[in-house]
Amino acid sequence: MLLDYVLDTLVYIGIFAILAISLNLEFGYTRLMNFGKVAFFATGAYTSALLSMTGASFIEGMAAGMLISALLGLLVALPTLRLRADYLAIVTIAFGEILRLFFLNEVWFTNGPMGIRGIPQPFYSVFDNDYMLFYVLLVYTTLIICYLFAERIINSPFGRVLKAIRDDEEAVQAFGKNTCMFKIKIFIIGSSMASVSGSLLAHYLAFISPDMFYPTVTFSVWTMLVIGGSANNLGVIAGAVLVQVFERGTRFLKDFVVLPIEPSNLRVILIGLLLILFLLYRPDGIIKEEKNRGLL
Amino acid sequence: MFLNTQLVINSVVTGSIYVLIAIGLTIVYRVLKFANFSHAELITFGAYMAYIVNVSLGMDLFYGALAAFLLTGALGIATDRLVFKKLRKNGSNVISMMIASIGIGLVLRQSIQEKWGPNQVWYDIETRTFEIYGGSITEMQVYIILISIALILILHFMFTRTKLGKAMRGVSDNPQLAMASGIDTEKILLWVWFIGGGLAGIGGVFRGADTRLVPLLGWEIILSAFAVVILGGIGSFYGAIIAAYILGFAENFGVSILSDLSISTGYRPAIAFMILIIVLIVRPSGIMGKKEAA
Repeated sequence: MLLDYVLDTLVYIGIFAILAISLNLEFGYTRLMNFGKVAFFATGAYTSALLSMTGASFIEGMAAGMLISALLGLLVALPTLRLRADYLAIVTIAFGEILRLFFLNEVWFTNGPMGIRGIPQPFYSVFDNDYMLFYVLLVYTTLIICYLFAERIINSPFGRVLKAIRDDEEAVQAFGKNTCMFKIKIFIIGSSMASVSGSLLAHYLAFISPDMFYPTVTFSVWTMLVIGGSANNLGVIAGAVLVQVFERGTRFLKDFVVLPIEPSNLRVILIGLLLILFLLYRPDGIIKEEKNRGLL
Repeated sequence: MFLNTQLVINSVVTGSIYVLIAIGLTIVYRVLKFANFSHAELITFGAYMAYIVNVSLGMDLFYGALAAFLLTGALGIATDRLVFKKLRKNGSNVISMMIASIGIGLVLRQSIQEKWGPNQVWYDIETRTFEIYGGSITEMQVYIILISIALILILHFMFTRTKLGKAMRGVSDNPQLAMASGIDTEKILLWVWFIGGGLAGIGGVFRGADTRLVPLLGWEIILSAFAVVILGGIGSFYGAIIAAYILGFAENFGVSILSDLSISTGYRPAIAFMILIIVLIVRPSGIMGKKEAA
């Protein structure tokens, strides 16, 4: 029983750490305000769910989700990324809501508010009783791949341009770089990565529904970034651990103690407070960005 | 279809609800330079403050709206004092302010849900209905339209004729110059938050009276409000007025087209989203915005 809670929390930490790293690539290193992270998370989840119901494999579903998320990311990025930062925030937040409405309203396609049940779980028959353990391994293998990939990107020449765009976009433009192309590319990469974590969620729960993809998911990921310290991938993983232990913990606690406040409300209120308090008193988060790594 | 009186009435009512909310949003945006996402919850807060006065205290909704204006204005000031002012002092950028506004929104919305529950509630109002040219309009909707127009005129007068209004414009156009001219910018900011919040509060009461109250009341219409602000040109008072009514018509006629095409009317918010995208592609500075805004 307790072990199940621990393994469940570990899976959620892993899934959200991938989301946090993908947001870190977009915001931490490039200052793109993606307030619609949940849209790409949901795209991955729904693509994997729908495809695997028709017999596609785990990998095929995940790859298709990444592709569709990349295309959607491109679609959102094109009209907005050349404009002010706040336009992207407004457009992505709206995009996330429209996509949720799509999953909610197109009953013929997504089964609407009832959601999709019985999503096949990869290798279930092989691991059977130890399935949770296997899933933890699967999630963490994926997380490590995403982490290494993200580190590789930010320490590459491409990544250095991203950081330069963040710090002084006009200076980068003066060097003749098309900053918009760089922003679009990293937005597409971030969107695909978010899709991977969505696929993992769908196969883990074997059930998804539109009410799992409210904007609060996006802001929970933002809290991980703000707490952990943006522009530091280990920091945002630490942020994911803290926020998820707290979120899962309050669910766990609910079964044992009577809280004066409805736990789901308390959770969101505390997420909001953490966000504000860290911005006010620890704007760099718990782990700061490492400066000039790889240069000296 | 374009002669459908009912659609025109509904459009004007929707526009009248959006206009105050959008003016509140755009003046804060203009002066403080960031998209205040907690505006959504200021709207909701106002609606529930009026609920206390109207239902819990049993008074007329008019006093509810008055209380909503004052209390939501005060809440706007409180969010500035407790969060945004400190961020300004820390030298934080507009990005931190936007994220903080999300945090404030989460705290407010869930606190409202904790207090009044997730289910819908209604104001205690009589609904007399008038028939005009084959369409019907409720007494409350007539009040919504008239009060909006009255408030727009008052604001217009304030921005053009009073010292306070001119100082607000001065602070938003050039804060350093305004300060050098002896304007107390922090005091002006208080007024900006008070009026911006107050208008959001009244907009919330209108929306609540026209539909119902839920903790997501403000969130449901904040995207439309942003679409209005960007279509009108960020910071433009007159642009917001025109854009609010354009959006009112676009949403109501759009929904009617959706149902003619037997597409779910649940896609109503997508209409605002499409307008938003079209504006960003065609004319990112909006109808009346300055070119450098984009």
